[in-house]
Amino acid sequence: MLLVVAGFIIFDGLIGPQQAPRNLATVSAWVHYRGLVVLALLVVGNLFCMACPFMLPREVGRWLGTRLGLQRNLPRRWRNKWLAAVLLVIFFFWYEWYDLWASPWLTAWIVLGYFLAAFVVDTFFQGAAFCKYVCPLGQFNFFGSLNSPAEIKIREAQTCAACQTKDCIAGNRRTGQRGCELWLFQEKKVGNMDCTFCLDCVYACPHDNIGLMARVPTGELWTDPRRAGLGYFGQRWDLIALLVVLIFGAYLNAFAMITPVYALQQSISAWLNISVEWPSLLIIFGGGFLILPVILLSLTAFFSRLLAGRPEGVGLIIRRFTYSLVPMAFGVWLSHYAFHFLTGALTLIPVIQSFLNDSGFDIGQPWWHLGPLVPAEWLFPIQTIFLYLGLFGSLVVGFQIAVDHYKARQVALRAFLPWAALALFMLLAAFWIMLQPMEMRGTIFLGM
Amino acid sequence: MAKDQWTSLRLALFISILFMLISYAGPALAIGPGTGGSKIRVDNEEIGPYSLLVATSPLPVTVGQMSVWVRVTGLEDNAMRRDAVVMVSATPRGGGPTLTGQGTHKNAGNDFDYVAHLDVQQAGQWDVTVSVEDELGQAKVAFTETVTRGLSAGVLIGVAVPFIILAVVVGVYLWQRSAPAAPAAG
Repeated sequence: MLLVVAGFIIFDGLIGPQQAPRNLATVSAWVHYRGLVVLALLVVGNLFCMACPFMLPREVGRWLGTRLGLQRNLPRRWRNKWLAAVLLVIFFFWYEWYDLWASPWLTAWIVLGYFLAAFVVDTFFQGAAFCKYVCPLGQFNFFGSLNSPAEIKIREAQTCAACQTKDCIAGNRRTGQRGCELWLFQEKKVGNMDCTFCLDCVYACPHDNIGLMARVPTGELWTDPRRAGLGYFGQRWDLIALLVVLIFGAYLNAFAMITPVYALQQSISAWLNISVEWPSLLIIFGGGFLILPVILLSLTAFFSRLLAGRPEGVGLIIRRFTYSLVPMAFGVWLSHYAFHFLTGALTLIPVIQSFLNDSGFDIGQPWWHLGPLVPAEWLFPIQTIFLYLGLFGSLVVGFQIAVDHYKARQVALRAFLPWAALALFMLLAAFWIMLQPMEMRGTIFLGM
Repeated sequence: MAKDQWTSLRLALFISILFMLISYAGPALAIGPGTGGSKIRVDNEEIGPYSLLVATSPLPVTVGQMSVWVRVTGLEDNAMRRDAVVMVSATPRGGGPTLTGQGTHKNAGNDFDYVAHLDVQQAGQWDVTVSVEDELGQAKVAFTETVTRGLSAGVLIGVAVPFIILAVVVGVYLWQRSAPAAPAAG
């Protein structure tokens, strides 16, 4: 299904009308895809990786690579999230610099680039290297699915303990079903990180002992056990880097929509005495992705250590508690993308009508009056609910992390308080962004 | 060169080339109408001697700035009209003064579209009229736009109340649960 949608996006994006609100590429990618992704993550889990259209080029690449003997393991130094974090930053930067939401042509090229990247990476490397270490969309889905109420996991631990063949990871020889490509051994798997919901393990298990099951959202972040395919969360700076990009990216992505960012960009441009956009954008992104996170996380960790009275490194505390900010940031993503989806969901109908008209099917005047999915007065309350939900999740996760580590609840409470304050500050920052007027984007620097 | 190094280099090269290709392709086409976050109101309707394409932004229009984006195409030669006078007026249905603004290329960021910014400070339905004039003649088109009230302190506080109650209840529960287990008797 998503493969067909991807085909239409590429077709209309490359040869259709180049006005964003009239084109399937821009409307379906930036309004519907993003909105449905975050809502699916909230309600179920990583459904979009499950239905990923890039599986086709991956499968072709794997087949070709195997036939030609090109396949090998990804070098150890690449087996982490650093590359994915950098690619995400580059993507966010391009998104603003090239006004990707406004360009059907570029949107189509991004989808094409994705097909190409998935094909090439999986032609040369085994183990779903593209999904696990490269794909920026997948990393966003992994991040969001930490908050999801469902997980692929085992039903009975005893069944796994008695299992001799471990088909969920090794593959089922009888049926030919492969095991998990992402090295998530079900018996030791904890949570949704890196799980694409591909169901390979479900089909491979000869005991029908694996399934999609309900769980407490964010529960996987409360403790830090050793996880199959991932190790300990608290020991991985690369995972923290990825989270920082997605936590602060939530704000930068929304911040770029509002009027103050244009004033800030113009001030920076005037200060630098330049007329091009990218240097000011680079400074804003440098501040948002590097300087601000370092300052905020270091200060919060410092105060957390001070209040807990334990002689621990600030870096260790950052690695432990940054996970508590995931729900708040996901609340911001949810609030932002759901807003666009709820205001523009029905736009898909006139856009499809327009597409059919342009394709030679005369179906009359598109119904451009269609647009919002809910009454306008519901929008801000819905956004606000998502943000409060995010704060609530962050407070619960933060406290549980503290209790899990410090054991003594008085100490845990003191260590948790600075992180609660940071989550509250993030909520207020999100409200501030929501209170700002939105800009008619993509018009400020062009032609001036 | 070791096999591992060559593999790493190949991956890095591939990703670099892919991104360079996309970067190179970008600038030429990014200078488009830039109407992300906007909504079509008039879709290439033939009015007078013109075909008019009109969109409003942001989506939804909230109290503050409303931008009206207009593209004027001559019906005779199917060419974009770059020297037209484009005026936009908006009147609140609930009563109030009519706002007017001129669509300019400077606001649009290119030399073929026209964008007018109007300062709408009243929520509700607005009747918007776009008029176009140049040597070909003149045309006028009207549509209705709904301006939404932005986020208010009332909403923030009203929605916060159930979450505060929830946070207190869950907080007390977690606090109780985190108590150290009592030592076993005997």
